[in-house]
Amino acid sequence: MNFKIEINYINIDNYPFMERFFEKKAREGWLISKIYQGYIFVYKRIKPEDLDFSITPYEIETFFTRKTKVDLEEFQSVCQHVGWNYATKTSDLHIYYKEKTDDAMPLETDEEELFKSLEAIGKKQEVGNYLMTILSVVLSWFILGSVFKNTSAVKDGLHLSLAFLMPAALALGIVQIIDLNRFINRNRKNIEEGLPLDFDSSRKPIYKILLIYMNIVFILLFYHILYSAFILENKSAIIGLIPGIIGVSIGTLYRFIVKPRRMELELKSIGLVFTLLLTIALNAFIGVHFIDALLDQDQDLPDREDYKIVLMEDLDEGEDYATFYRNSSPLFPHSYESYSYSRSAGSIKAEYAGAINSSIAQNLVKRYKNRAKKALVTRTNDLFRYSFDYGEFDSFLKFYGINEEDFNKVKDMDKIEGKRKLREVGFANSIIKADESFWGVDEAYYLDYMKTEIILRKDREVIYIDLEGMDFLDDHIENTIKNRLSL
Amino acid sequence: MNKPLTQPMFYILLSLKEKRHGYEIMQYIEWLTEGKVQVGPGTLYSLLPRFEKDKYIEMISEEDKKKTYLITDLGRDVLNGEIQRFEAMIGHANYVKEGKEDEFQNRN
Repeated sequence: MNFKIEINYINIDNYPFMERFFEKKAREGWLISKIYQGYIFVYKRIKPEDLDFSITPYEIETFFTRKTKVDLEEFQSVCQHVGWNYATKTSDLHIYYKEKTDDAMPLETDEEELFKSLEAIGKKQEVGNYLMTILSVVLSWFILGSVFKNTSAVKDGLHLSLAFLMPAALALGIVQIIDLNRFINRNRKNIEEGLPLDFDSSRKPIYKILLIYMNIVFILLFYHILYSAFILENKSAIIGLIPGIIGVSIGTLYRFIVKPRRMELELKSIGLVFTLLLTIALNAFIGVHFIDALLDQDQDLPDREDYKIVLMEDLDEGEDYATFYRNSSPLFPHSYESYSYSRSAGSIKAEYAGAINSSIAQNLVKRYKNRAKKALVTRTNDLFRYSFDYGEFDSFLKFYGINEEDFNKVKDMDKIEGKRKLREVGFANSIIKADESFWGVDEAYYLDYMKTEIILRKDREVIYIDLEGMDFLDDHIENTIKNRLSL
Repeated sequence: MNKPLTQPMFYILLSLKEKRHGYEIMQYIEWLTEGKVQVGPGTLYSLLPRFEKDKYIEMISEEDKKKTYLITDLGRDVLNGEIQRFEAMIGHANYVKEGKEDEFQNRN
C-alpha cells in the first residue's frame, strides 16, 4: 500500500508533540499528506528519511478575518522560500517539513507572537465549542426525553441517531472548552513571566474515541435520512433534505464569491448575514410550497398484502383521504402508520412496529399505556377542577371511566389526594386488558374507557389502532379489523 | 501609553519605512541585523494583518500573490516613540556605565 490512514488528534495545544511524531513516522517511511477533521491522518509511502517538521498556526480565511486565499498562498510561498516544504494543513495549523541536514529559517521566531496567534485560534475554537455545547444540551434535553418516553421517537432512526450523537457532542464540547481554557491561561501566565510556551504531550485518546464515535453515528444518521427519503419514500424526509441542499448551495456560493474577496470585516459580516437571511427566506418559501404540495397530494398507498394497516374502505365506508408513512430505526427496523378518513363515518389511525426482539416490543406497549395515562390526566384536569371546586360531579368524567359514586367517595378528601384516587379509578377502568385469545396476540389492551384505542402485541410486532366515530364495542368493526390485521 | 513593541514588531515597522513585501521584510531584517534577528514567516504573517488592522501599515499594492506594505503616519509615530524610548534607555545605561550613580547618593 502506498498510503495508510490512522486515527490521531492534533490541535493548537499538542502540535509540537505531533511534530516529533511526524518525524518518527518519516523515519518509518510515512509522510503525512492529509488530515481530515483534525483526526483522520493520511500518510503516503516515502523512502525512510530523517526529516524535520515544523507546524505553524496561521488563521485561514473565515468571516472573522480579513484574510483571503491569496493571503494564504503568499504565506505558503514565503515558508517555501525560507526552506520548508508544505505537507498539509488541518484547520489553522500548517505542517511543513525539510531534510534534517537542510538549513531553513524557523517558521516561528517569537514566542509572544506565537502565543497571540494560538490564543486567537483557541478563542475562535472556544466560540464554536460553546455553541456546540449549548446546542447539544438543548437537543439532548428534547431528544433523550422523547427517546426514553415517546412512542414514535424509538421508531425513528433520526431521533435515535441524534440521541446517540448529542451526549458525545456535549462531552466533546466540554472537554475541549476545559482543555483550551487551561492551555490559554497557563501560557498567558508563562508569557507574562517570560517562560516558554507549555504544550500538552498527549495524543488525547478521549478526543479520538469521541470523534470516531460521533462520525460513525453521523454516517448512520445520514444513511437513515437517505434511506428514509429514497427507499422508504418518505416525502417528509425528502422535504427535510431541501434546507440542507439549499444551505450547502448558498454556502458554496458564499465561499467562492464573498469569502475570497479582501474586504472590511463589516462588509464580510454583512455578506454572511445576507447569505443566512437568503437561505432562511428560500427555505421558508420552498418549504411552504413543498409542504402545501405534499398536503394537496394523496399519499400513494402501498400494496395492501405487504402491510398490516386498516383503512376506512375495509369497513365498507367511503374514503376521502388517506396517508401512509414508513419509518425505520435500529430498534424497530420496520414501522409504518396509516391514517384513513371518511367525512361521513370517521377515521382510523393504525400504527405498526416490528421490533428486533419481543422485550423491546413489550417496552413499546408500556409506552403506549403510559401515553394513554398521560392523555387521561390531561383531559380530566379541567373536569376534576370543576368537580372539586364546586363539589359537584362533572358528568363528562364518565367518558373516562369515573362515575358519580367514585367522585362521592373522594370529594371530601384533600383535593390532590382525591384527584389522584380518581385518576387511579380512571386508569383501572380505561386501560384494561382486551381479549388476547380473540385477537390471537400475546398482549392486548384497550387504552381508553370508550374503547376507541387498542394496543396489540404478538411477539415482536406491535399494532396500535385509534378509531374516531367508531369503537371496538361494535362487533362488526372489531371482527373486520381483526381479520384485516390477520394476527 | 502604548505597550512597548516586541522585537519582531519593531523591526517589521522599521523595515516598512520603505515599501516592501513579506519576503523582502524578512530578508531586510536579516541583512540589517547581520543575521542576529530573524523574523520567521509565522511571526511575520501574524503581525502584518494586526498592524494593518491597527493602521500602523497599509497595503499599497498586490501583484503576483505578493502584497507590498508601507508604514503609515500613525505607524511612524509609534516607531519613533519606541526609538525615543530605546534612546532614553541607552542614555540611562550609559549614565550608569560612566559611574555617575554617585550623584544619586549626593542628590540632597
